[in-house]
Amino acid sequence: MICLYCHSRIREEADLITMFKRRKPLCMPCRKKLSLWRSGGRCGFCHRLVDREEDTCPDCRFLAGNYRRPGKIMCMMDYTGEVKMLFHRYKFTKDAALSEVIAMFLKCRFGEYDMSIPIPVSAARMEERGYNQTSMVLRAAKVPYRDILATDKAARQSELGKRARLTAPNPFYLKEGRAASSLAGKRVLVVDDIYTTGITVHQALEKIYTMKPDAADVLTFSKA
Amino acid sequence: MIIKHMKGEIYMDRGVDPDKYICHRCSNDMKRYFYKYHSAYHGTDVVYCLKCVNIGRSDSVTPLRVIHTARKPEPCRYHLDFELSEAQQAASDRIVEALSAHSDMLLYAVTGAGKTEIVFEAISLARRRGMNVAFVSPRIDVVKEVHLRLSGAFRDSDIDLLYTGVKETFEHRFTVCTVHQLYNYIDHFGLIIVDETDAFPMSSDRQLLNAVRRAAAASSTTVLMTATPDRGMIEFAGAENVVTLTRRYHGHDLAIPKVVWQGITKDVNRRRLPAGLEGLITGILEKGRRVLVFVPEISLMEKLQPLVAAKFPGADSVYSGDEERYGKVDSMRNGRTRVLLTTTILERGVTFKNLDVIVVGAETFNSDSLVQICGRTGRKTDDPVGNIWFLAEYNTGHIRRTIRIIKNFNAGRTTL
Repeated sequence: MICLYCHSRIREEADLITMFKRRKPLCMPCRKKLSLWRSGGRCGFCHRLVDREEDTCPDCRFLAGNYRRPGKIMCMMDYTGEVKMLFHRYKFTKDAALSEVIAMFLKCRFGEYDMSIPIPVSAARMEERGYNQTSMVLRAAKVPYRDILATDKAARQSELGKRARLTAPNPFYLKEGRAASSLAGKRVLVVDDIYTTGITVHQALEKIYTMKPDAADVLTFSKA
Repeated sequence: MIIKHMKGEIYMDRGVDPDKYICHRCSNDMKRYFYKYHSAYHGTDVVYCLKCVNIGRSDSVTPLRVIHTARKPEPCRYHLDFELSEAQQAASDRIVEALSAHSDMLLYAVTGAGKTEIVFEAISLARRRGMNVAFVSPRIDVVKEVHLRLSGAFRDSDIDLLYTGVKETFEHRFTVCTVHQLYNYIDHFGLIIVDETDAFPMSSDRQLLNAVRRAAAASSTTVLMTATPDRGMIEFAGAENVVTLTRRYHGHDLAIPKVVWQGITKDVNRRRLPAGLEGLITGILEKGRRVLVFVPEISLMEKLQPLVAAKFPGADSVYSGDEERYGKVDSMRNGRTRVLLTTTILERGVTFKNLDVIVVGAETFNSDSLVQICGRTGRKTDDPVGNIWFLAEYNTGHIRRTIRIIKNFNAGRTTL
């Protein structure tokens, strides 16, 4: 067994407890590094690091003025230098094994929701990467999900500025079919990999709210 | 040939053989260093190599593409601020001879011998003859530092710089990079210089020396440079091709480490600064000198640092994952920090003036590391010796061997 993050071998003592536990593909030092949360005030809604602790940060207030808010936003890892590196390797060098590492950090009661919906990737990104980075993590965590959203967006989000993201038309649409039309009255969880400005998630929610779900929350692996 | 991901002609139908688990790029064949997952997009299982994923993924669904090597001579002048010492000049001549004879070479040189300057003439000659040149090292710090020094000396040349995350390429004719980057080159370089060949991970990964072999052209010269050669390196170069340099460039002896029989873990666990360590640091600071304290483990360093800082304000610590690492090393260099605790990351490639060294838990270090650590002192002409203390709980073969190697260097002998 090797650690999928640092590739060193994991040697674990075999005792009664470890013998019957599923072995995790991450060594202790790496797990410690990746679980670190920077100290400081945080926005009570999107968990962004802010100078002064408050219920909603300017970003959230701005989004609330333009979009309908989700019920809550859950964030699993702090976007530290190490986590940044993790996502860079996972998304841009195509180190797909890291989906198992990220899956280890999902602490969320998925059972409270009727449906988990990952943010889709465009055809261009799919051709480049070969996988949807969000649903791959959900699969590694053994969380059932439904692909009811699709996108025709071409440019990479991380290359766009905030204004460009906001003025662009909503790139998401709901796939035809039973799943989308059965959203009414359901509790829905929208899952995204990295929450930067929040515009992506809010645009996806805009489409989902048209189907009148009972509640919609957001789960994001990390908050930039 | 140079492996490129997006362009060029197909060299292999796929980068990884999914049945035999072999990576055609880095020749990894250990099954645990492959990862397999089902890809809905490709409609099959995908296997990729974890050993070389950092330089672009090699997998079972993408072909390996290559572009062919071009060779072009350039005048390649360089300049040096000083003249080589007699011993340096002799070593430089031997490497130039090896270059003409297309034979390999092992440069076995004491720390602080001025190894980098010794290869300048060979680099210049190789470029004039149109050979592609690579200067590689397993350590990123060394790669960065060497790139600066070579850019300063070879002012008219375009020098590529490659390491994880950084890519500054011209035409792949004169490249400074980490050893891992050589996985992307096949039959390409006429001269390869490997600095700090004994450093991690090259010491424990035979595959990397094979990568050097494969990146070298059919008739080429590979120069391995090290202060502590092992059998594998001597076999690689051939016993008749070992060139030794036992004197530092300034001609002074290396300091011989003084061993103090004292363990520190017990004190540290009781939150006490070990008296011996305190005495040594006080003595060093009173003489107006600086000190690097080498600690075997990060966890021990985290406990020791507050104890040292309580007694000696401003004492800092540094380790590989430290985000402020370069800033801390800089403040040590310009004298703001006078006591710096470090793991083995500062064992090579750094030079501080008026430096003394203390190694705590010396019984846990191996002799390669200890020789390098001792090599940190006395690197400047105006402070040519320095002091070294080993704090050890008990004696080990590695401590004895380190002292023997250093005494042999001072007597003009090598320790093979």
